[in-house]
Amino acid sequence: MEMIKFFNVAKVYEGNNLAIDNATLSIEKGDFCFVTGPSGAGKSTFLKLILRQELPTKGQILVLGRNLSKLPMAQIPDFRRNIGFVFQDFKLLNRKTIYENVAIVLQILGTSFREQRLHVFEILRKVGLQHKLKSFPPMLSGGEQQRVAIARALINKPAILLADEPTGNLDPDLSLEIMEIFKSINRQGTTAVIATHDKELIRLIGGRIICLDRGQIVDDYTIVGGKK
Amino acid sequence: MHYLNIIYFIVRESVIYIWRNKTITFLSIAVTSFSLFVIAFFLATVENINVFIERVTQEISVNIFLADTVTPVQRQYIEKLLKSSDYVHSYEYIAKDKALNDFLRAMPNFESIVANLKENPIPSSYRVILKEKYNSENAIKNFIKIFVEAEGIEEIQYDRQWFEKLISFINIIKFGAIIIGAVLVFTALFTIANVIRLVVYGRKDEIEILRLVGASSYYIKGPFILEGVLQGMTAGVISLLALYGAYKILMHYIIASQAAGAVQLLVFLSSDMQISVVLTGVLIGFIGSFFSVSHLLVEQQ
Repeated sequence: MEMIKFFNVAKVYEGNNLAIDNATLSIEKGDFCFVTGPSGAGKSTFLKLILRQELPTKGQILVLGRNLSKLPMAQIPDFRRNIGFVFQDFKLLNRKTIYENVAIVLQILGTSFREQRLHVFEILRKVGLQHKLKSFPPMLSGGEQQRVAIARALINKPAILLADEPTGNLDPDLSLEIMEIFKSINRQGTTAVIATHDKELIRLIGGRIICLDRGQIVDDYTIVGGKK
Repeated sequence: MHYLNIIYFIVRESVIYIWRNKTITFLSIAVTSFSLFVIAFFLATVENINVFIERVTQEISVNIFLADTVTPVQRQYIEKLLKSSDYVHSYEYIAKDKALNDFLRAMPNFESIVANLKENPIPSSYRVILKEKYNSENAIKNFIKIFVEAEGIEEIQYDRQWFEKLISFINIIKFGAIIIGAVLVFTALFTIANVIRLVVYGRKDEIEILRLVGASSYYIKGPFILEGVLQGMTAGVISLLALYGAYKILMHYIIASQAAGAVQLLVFLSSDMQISVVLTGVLIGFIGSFFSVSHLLVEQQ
């Protein structure tokens, strides 16, 4: 089952900056993909297009069976509730506690408070932050904030997980731990698309590798057991 | 259940935000209160001018001064004319002694002069209040004609001319006050709207994050609007309390200066106006936050 499909997609920003150039690909349910490439290759734009944070300049994108160019504004929130996103700059609510930052996803889904508490404790334990429930994001280190962002992305067991450089602020051991969390949620059926330029991590974890360069898909292969 | 969840979410988010951001909330309420105070002060000024005009108009009287030689029969005839006249709302006979006492009460400095007089120089009179519809100068002149043939009358005086001059002067002041007031009100509304806009724009990132995690517009707008409404309402109440404080202080000074007439004239805002001030705060809070958040949401799409 296709979760994400790009048909000749191009994204051009102001000033004629080509971020994605004629991309066509398909990502299946349960895929574990890395989107890699040098800085400015278009990795972040690729993820933003999937989240409908940006619209393609040309071509069509289908995500979870919906054509994003034709998705009505009113349906965007509902669409995004199926996607967990770990942003490069974390995008945490600085005026809310760690607990509230993670719980907000469940609150807007109308989950009961008992369940909210249960799930938030569980996910924060998974990312090793159960003792920081009442802290505020600015009180945490970059790595800890990253883990809060990951917890928020995974809390509602989304159909698709998008992560933009999720291990950029973490040490190698913690990076592997976080990847293991992604792998475990992927084993439960979540399709994962992770943008990173960490080649060593890709080699260690394995999965489908989509290589971008100046907006073009230049390679698309799979690594299993450290081998192409 | 879903709607209850939304309401609970909105109320909880608003209360938490206000509690955790006391300084911003305080500053926002302070600016809004000051602006609403300006509006309330303007409304109170206009209301006091209106009350003054109303009272002054009601008090227009015609004084029929009687000759010292007036006989009881002549007085009876004058009273008969007053009773049968359609113009008269009420009348009062003021005897010479009472007239003198009233005069001395109003002008106590003249007491020694009056004491040296052999006779009471103030004539007895009838103080006639006309019906409101006969308060024009022409009507008063027609009323006076009734007494042309009556004997025992020394003089008939009326203060319509003076009042009309006063009222036209007050109307000029009122017109000026309305123009200045309109400018002040506009400035106040503009200030409040901009304060709300700044507060909302300061939370631009928060709105973006909420959108990206899939929050519907009512989840995003709701808390902002409720905060705006609560702050506007609080500011409205504070501005009224401040105005009431100013009113009480002013009354205290007026009473201390023994300007008893002014005490009667000075009124506080009517309850309708008080409600209007609070509702203005609520409305500006609602409109300001609604449009600021909506504008930001459109900008971020």
